[in-house]
Amino acid sequence: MITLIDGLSLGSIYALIALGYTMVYGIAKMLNFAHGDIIMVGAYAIMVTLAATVSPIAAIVAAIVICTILGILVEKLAYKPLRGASPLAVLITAIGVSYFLQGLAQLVFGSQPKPVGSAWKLPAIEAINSLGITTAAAVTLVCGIIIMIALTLFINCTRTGSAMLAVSEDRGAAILMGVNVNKIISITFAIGSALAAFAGMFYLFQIPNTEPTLGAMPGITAFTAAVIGGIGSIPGAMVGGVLLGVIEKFCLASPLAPYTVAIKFSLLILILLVKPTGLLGKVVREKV
Amino acid sequence: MKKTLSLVLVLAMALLVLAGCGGNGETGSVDGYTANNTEYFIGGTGPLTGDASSYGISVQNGANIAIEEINAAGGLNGVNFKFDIKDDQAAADKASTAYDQLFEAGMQIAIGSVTSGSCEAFATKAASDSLFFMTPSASAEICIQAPNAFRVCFGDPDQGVLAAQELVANYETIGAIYDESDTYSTGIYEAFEAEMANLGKEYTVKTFNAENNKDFSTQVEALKDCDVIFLPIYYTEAGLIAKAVVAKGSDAVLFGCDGLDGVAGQIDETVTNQIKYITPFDVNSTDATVSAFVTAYETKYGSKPDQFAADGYDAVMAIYEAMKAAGVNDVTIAPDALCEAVTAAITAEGFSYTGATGTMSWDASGAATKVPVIIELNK
Repeated sequence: MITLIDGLSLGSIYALIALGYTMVYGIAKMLNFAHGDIIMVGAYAIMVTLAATVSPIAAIVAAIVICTILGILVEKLAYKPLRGASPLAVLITAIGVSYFLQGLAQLVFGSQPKPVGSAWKLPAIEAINSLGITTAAAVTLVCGIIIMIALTLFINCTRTGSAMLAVSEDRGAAILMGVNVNKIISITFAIGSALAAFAGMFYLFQIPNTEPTLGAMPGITAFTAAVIGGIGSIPGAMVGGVLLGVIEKFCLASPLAPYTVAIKFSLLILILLVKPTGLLGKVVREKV
Repeated sequence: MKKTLSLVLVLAMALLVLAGCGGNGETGSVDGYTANNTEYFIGGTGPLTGDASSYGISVQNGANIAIEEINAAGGLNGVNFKFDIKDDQAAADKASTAYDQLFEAGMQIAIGSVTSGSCEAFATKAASDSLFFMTPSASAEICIQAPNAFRVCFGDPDQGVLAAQELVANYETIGAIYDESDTYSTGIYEAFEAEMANLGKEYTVKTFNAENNKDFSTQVEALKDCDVIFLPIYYTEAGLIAKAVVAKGSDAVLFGCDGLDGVAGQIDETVTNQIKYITPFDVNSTDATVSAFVTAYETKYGSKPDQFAADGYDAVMAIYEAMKAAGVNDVTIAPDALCEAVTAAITAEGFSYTGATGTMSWDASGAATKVPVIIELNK
């Protein structure tokens, strides 16, 4: 039971990151491999603000603002000049951005893991803690669900959301209908990066250490989750993320613990073999 | 034509190589290098620059304190000691080169190398020259396989055995978490496992590896009801485990190995669990030898000594005590003759040395027998 809760809360972190991947892919048709490193920047932003102000709220706000700006900047500087270039060129650029951010963090903060600081903690909630569930797990799970619902509503019920869907479906037609595609892609990156900041925040609640490669493993896992769920599909990212989180935790709790990472990624191969578009992916028929 | 030329060249080269050997053979009288010594020469290598430099510099500082102390007290029968540690950047090839330089400069006895990889290379060289060495800190077993090789620190497996005995004696339910992708951690754990089986005590073990070394909630969940959790791991992961233990509301004692004192920088006041670790050296000890060393070190270097500094001090002092016991009185004594005398003295029944890392004695294996201290972390 507790393993399940731990798994769900880890899964909601993965789901939040996977949402960032899948949104950007669905709308801009590119894999933003720097997404994991935006989480890392968010975590460092929290650490630095916390050290300066001792206010977790200020730290969270700073992280969201910094990540959103960073996301837009990365899109404007690195990806926009490549719009229309081959997907491979964009992919390589994204990996380059990822290494750039990691290297920068290493230069500024050093390669040693740093504890985030004692002001970064959640209050004990007796009713939940007595069941053996940590406050961090509960908060992550609840907030994760709220954020996912909010995102779904935003996309389906607002004008900007509809414009995003339109760009995702057919960029050419969207342009013809008067949708400002560049603006929509920027908004997508902004939202994706803000989600990364949230993911960084939840990550720090569970693992209170920052290091330059912090985003790498969660980033890859969440990418796997997005592909398992069907890349481009928002509910798919959530299902994939939660699924991987739960599987990871159950593996760790079983005698298979040493093989956790192998099992996690074998699942990707298995699902791609059986259902190449992912669990909730759309089947796109090629018209002849 | 080309073929002939190359053959000639190969021949010429072979001749040159042979000639080189011959040349060495003529001048390479082993005793020659120490003939002009006016002081006993203790050599050694360690990382003085690079990533591991903190270890090498600590050993160097500790050893220098010992040399000063010996010379201030009149040396050995009025003959002073000199100490030279060369930088090996924790690399085996640099340690080999440094050994040759030291040997040709008249090194008679050594503290070997600070890190295990370098010390293995140093040991190979020292074995062929029959040069006695006492490494302060190289814990791998391969470093002390030769009869002329000794060490001050514990070996990795020793700590596992000690931990098993200590935990079984003092706690009811025992858990352990170790890093199965790391040799240091598995080395200690395997010895722990064997000793636990030997003592017939059940315990629960959880593992992690280099890919999964951040989130410990699952491992801690399984062990949260234990009285004590054994952590033969590095302090970064130990810090994360300590926080996970707090988050799960467990009051288990955390029990680690040498070097766990670094965990103090990773945790904060929310961690109320007792943290204990095995260490040969307690900087806050009230023991006269230890506090004299700590004071001397602080006066000279302006900081508190760590375990490596204490090991470096003890390596030099143990060599001095063994030379005194062996009755060495010739400052130009050759390394092999000195090795024979010192080895006999140090392995003799009744020889023991008390220093900054406790009272220790040696047998022919080269490993030190000493009682570790178990201390609680000062948070």
